[in-house]
Amino acid sequence: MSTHDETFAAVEEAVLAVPGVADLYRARPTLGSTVTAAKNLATRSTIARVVLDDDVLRIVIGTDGSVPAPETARAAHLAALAAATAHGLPLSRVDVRVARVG
Amino acid sequence: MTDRDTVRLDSLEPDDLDGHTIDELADYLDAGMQPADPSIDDSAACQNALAAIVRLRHSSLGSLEAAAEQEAPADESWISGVLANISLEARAGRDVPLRPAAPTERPVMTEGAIRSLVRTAGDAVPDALIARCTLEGDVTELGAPVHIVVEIAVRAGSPIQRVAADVRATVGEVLATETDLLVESVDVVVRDLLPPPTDDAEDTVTTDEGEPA
Repeated sequence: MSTHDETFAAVEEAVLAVPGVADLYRARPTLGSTVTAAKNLATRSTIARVVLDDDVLRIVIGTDGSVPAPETARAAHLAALAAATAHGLPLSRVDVRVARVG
Repeated sequence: MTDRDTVRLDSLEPDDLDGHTIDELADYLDAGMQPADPSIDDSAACQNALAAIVRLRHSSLGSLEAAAEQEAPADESWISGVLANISLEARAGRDVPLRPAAPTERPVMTEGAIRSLVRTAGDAVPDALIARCTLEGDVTELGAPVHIVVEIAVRAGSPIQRVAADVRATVGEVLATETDLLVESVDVVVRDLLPPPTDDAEDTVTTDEGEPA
């Protein structure tokens, strides 16, 4: 695993642990992230569901309905930010898209 | 029983549902979602559509069986219309902003998630089935007034005004809880009447007073 792979895995784990988060969907890839994903495929690395655009992390979640979606999105943003920071990945912003409400 | 699984929706583009059509999703459901297809299981749009298809089948099953005995062509047309709406509404659509609490946060909810939310809430109202949901207004601007239009089918024999009022209240509540939309109105339009359930299903349907509907 590369450093980014480990960071993304940690971010995904942190986001999925947020109360109210039921699913983590693959964020729509940008050109840059597609190139990265292609490289990862070549090296058989895990393809992350989160996408990093420069210093902006994009995640797509589904909620289970136990917590209102705005609160869940906020908590997911905090969890992702904390996990990324803990792994040495500075972020200027975390874009959280709620794609499904359970 | 209505052969609703044969209804084709060829006018819909595969890209509407992350590369899948509503027919493919129906087939996947019929196969017990086996073998697992990650392109469906990992797609929020497909999951929204699958959930709506399941509710459509469950909530209308008795009525559809009765309708099929009387006027199958009209029934198929109605079902295909609802399925088409489900397919269109389940698409992600526009990004609807949620209110950020920090400069590092940009939260949004997809329009498809909101329409699915409305459909789920409305379908949960007894004797109601959502046929179509529309968000009117600039939903991409936080704080812009939004009007919700919900077209429903009501089970024949049930009090239409009460069902419509229940749908309006339920949809308003769920949108207030789950979104940051400034909802100015929820308009409920009763478009269809679902035939009464068959005898088997009728045993379980009662009015507020506990009498059979």
